[in-house]
Amino acid sequence: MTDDRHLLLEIDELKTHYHTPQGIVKAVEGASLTVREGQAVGIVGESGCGKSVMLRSILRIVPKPGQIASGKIRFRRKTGEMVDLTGMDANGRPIRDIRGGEIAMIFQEPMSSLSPVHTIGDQIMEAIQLHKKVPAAQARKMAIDILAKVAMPRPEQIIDQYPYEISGGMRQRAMIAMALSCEPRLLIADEPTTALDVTTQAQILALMRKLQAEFGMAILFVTHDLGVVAQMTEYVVVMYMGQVVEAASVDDIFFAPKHPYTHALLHSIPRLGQRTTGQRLEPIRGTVPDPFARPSGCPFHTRCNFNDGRRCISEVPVLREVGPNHQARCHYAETLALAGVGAPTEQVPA
Amino acid sequence: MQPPIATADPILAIRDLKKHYGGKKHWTGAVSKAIRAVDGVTFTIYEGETFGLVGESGCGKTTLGRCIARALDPTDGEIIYSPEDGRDIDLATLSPRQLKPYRQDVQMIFQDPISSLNPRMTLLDIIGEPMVVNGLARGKEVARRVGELLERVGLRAEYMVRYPHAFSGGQRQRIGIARALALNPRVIVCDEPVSALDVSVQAQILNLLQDLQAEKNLTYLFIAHDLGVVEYLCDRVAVMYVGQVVELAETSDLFARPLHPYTEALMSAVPPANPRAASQPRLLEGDLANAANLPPGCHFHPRCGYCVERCRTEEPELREFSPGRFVRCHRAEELRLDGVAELAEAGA
Repeated sequence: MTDDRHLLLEIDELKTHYHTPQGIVKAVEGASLTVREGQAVGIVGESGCGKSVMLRSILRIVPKPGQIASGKIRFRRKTGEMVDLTGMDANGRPIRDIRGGEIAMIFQEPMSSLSPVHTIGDQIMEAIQLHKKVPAAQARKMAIDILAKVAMPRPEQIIDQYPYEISGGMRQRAMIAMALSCEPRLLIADEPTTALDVTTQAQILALMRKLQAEFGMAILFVTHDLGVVAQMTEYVVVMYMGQVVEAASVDDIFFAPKHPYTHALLHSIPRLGQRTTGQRLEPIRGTVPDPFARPSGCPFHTRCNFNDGRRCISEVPVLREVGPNHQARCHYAETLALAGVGAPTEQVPA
Repeated sequence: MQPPIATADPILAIRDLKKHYGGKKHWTGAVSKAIRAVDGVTFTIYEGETFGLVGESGCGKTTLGRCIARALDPTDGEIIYSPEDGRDIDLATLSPRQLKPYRQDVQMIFQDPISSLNPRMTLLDIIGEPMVVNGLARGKEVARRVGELLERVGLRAEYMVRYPHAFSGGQRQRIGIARALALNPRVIVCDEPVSALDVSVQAQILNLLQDLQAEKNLTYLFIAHDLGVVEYLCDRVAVMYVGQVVELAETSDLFARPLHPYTEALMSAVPPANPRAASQPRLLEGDLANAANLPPGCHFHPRCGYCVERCRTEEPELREFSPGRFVRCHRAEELRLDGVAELAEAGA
């Protein structure tokens, strides 16, 4: 499938490092990915794999002592011009226009990312007035409209309430409303439903899908829930220890994974409706290595079932094309013949 | 995966258990409205089984688990425990002194492996203290047993001199499990033991729990909101909604054909981990009912898509629909609700 949509965001060999007294933590160590206009891209990985740091690098909000060591983040602005975000002053005018105005972010924990001492309305209106020159009364009207768009019940009342007065699902709606208030072209969603109940999660996911179609924005969707990935994204990037280890269409990731880590993730999760008598889960051995002591060779070799003991521990694999629109960072990607979840032939294509 | 329940003996029988907060009369005469966190729960757990408890946050599943472990004092109802000597004891009404011999039989594993371990105690103290307090071991014997337990849960014995901060989330959960095992319990209340863990570590802990159960004939009350985990691990499942059990069945029956509209909604809300199966959640309107101000009739009726006039006025009872299957819905017989299989097919 060729994709003729415009490139919206291109991350190229990004390295974001933390200089700590104990040494350098290479949180992101050469990650690359692309997002096209209107595309929903999922990022999957365990905690500590660098996915949050990578997202914060895009917006240039990496907390100190972290800093971008090298690499490029190219973003197509509304005007059509491609700009390199890494070259911008993190406090300068251009990035502040992009932040919130063209790239918006929603966070995992709506309670701690909303201000507890400002009303919902104040927080949404602040975002609107930062990016659009409108009087307060009109900003308020726009805030009510956007709250109604995210299916917030009683928006005229909620706008004057504080975050503690409303439920978790409603808070997440308020966050989404704030993010959408300036019609961003890229929405970064960092585990937006992890803190919510499944029933609320289903509401929020349905809402995000509807809004994506309506606004035509691209979404970078970070999650560890493979169900959410399957339902919300078209392209998936799997990260491990600061690197992209596999990138492919969502179908290929689920049905024809090429990297042992993707394979292991798929098979370590109990999936609804897959209960089979006596079958055990296959956990991934050990834990994510200490960031101060990156393993030699392939960073995943310490936990990999296909470690050959020679090339894997000495030679660093590169991310390379292993199929059409499918990249993997493994020496043996072509020869392993890894099994996906359920053969795709059993399913009738939707 | 476990032996059929019919051959096992009951180990805990919960009878009309209630835990209300507030509702007390103030000296001014004002009566605050009681929050009915757990409101008349009845079920039986059999020896050696894994009994799942699912529901949204705020439905009372954690409160119920804590009442059963007597970390909280229930307001009303019975918790009939059957110790190995064959007597039946109501744990709900025992005084702390009378309760002490049974405390070690019912232990807990908590959700948050960080806040549930004292940061100022070494593993030796954390796991060894319950043994000393209950007179199971003393002196060098404590260290030997702690070492054994650590090795059993997949840690090294020499770690016992370290403090919890030196361990990762999965390792801390293993420490929590070792502490629960320290007193050779018969029942372990597992309150969301894997929800704070990464997926790869989650599978390790689930497998460990299964192995320990087979080895020591443990009974688990497994509280979780992840239906995939519950389906994988549990023999029977109770679904809770604002303080009440709305459905109880064997796991395969429940997931194949739910009888309560809330169970159906919960299952359909889980996004299938298959990009070709389109998710068609039966979206619930609104939020969980307020436990201090419950709607009349069936508590679920304001959010239920199958609600009829009777549901608005008459509160349904939890009744036995077929042997071993319980449901709290007026319309259980007439409704044909979709289980997990249908949902997957419908979307394909």
